[in-house]
Amino acid sequence: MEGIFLALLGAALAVALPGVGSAIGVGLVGEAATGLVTEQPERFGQTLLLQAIPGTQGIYGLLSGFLIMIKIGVFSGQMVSITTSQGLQLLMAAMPIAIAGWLSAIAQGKVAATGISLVAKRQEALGQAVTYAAMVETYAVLALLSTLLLVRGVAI
Amino acid sequence: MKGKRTDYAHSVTRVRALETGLLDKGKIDRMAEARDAAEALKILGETAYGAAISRINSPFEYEAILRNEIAAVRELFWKMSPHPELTDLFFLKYDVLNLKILIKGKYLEQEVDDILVSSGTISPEKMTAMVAEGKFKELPPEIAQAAEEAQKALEETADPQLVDTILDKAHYAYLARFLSEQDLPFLRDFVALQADLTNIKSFIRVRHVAEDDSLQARELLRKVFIPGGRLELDFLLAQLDEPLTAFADRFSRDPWGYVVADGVAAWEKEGSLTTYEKLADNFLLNYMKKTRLISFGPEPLVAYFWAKENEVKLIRIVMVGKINGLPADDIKERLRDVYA
Repeated sequence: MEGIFLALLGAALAVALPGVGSAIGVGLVGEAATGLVTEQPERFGQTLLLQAIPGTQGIYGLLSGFLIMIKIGVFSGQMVSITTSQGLQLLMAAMPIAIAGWLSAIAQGKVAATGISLVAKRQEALGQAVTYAAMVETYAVLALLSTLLLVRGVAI
Repeated sequence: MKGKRTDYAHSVTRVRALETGLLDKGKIDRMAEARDAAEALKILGETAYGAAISRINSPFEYEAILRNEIAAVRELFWKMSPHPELTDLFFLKYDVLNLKILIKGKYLEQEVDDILVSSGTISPEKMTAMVAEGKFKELPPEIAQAAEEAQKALEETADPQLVDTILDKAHYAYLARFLSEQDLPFLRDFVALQADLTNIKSFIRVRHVAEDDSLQARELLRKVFIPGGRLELDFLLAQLDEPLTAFADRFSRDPWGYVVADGVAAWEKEGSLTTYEKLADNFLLNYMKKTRLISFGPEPLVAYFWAKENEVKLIRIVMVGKINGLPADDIKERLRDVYA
């Protein structure tokens, strides 16, 4: 029974931590965006693009969580019986996206928020601002990749 | 520092958006080259000042617009800053200005309502009542104590300059203490720089006024010295007997060493501190430009306030010059850099 408990903990952390990170990140960019839009309402589109960027980690986390849930049969209505060791393996597999997703979303939020400051000064710099923020995405994608491979690799 | 730096996300971006509306060098130069004051004001009307200018009837009323501009910045900061008591710190100088006017006005039994400014943290009406009653509890402790002291000193000596020096000292003592309790090294250094540059200016003046009387010079310097800077009073007192160029050399390693060197050179040639003041103003403005590298925090807000004050100062120089019919080149010579 501990096996399934650990696997569910992994799935929960994979969804929850990047979700929290993304919420903080998107929230911070939103605050910055209102600063610009208060003065120049026509810049809404530009700011929305930047605000969306730190939201991806939450999606990666959800995807990873679903994969673990599928693996242990949450959706089939009949959860498989797994050993403590297998549960622990799934919990470990969830760690890359849980931790890297959580912290990279906050870091990316800060970059995107300063990106808003940049486009506030120079409207044409949107591409540059998006590029800087997108660089942080690399590490969230790498974490997602490793979680996907790890979950796949756990034999049940 | 109270709260987190990211608390300033909204206000910093807003200020960055507003910065794009600051006047650039070209606009100011065009104003300086205008035919007369009315035309200069018309050029100003093409900018963010347009709405305010359409409401005045003659170019002589420009001062009211400029005063409102700073008061509007304070109101904006008050509404949007997550810690308005921090940004308010920099508007305190207008409270100190009102205090000086009111204390002197009370002593001379003169009406001073017209010259009070509304850009401070306490309304002119409230400040008037405070001085009338002699109760300064709402002011920071240093300034409250200084206000009482200044009133007493004025009654005893009848020297209005004492009011200025006592309050200036307290003002900087308060700024330095408040900022030393916060983790804001940039702003702390900025206030220290201001104090140092002001003290050097006083030093040059005092040295000139009491050239042959070193005892009087020492006493004067003690009186006008403001705290909060890196330069100690004892250091300046010891420099009084040295040649001025040797004094300027002492700062050759400081980033603002050229301000003192060039300022002193111009002073010895022309006997005026205008060049020094201009160089010092430009140095402080350029120092503030470093806030562009600060993503979150109160610094960009303070920088915007500083930029706006500088802009108002420039417009004032141009308008005073135009109204008095100064040639464009003379006006331009007095102008400082712009922040934008």
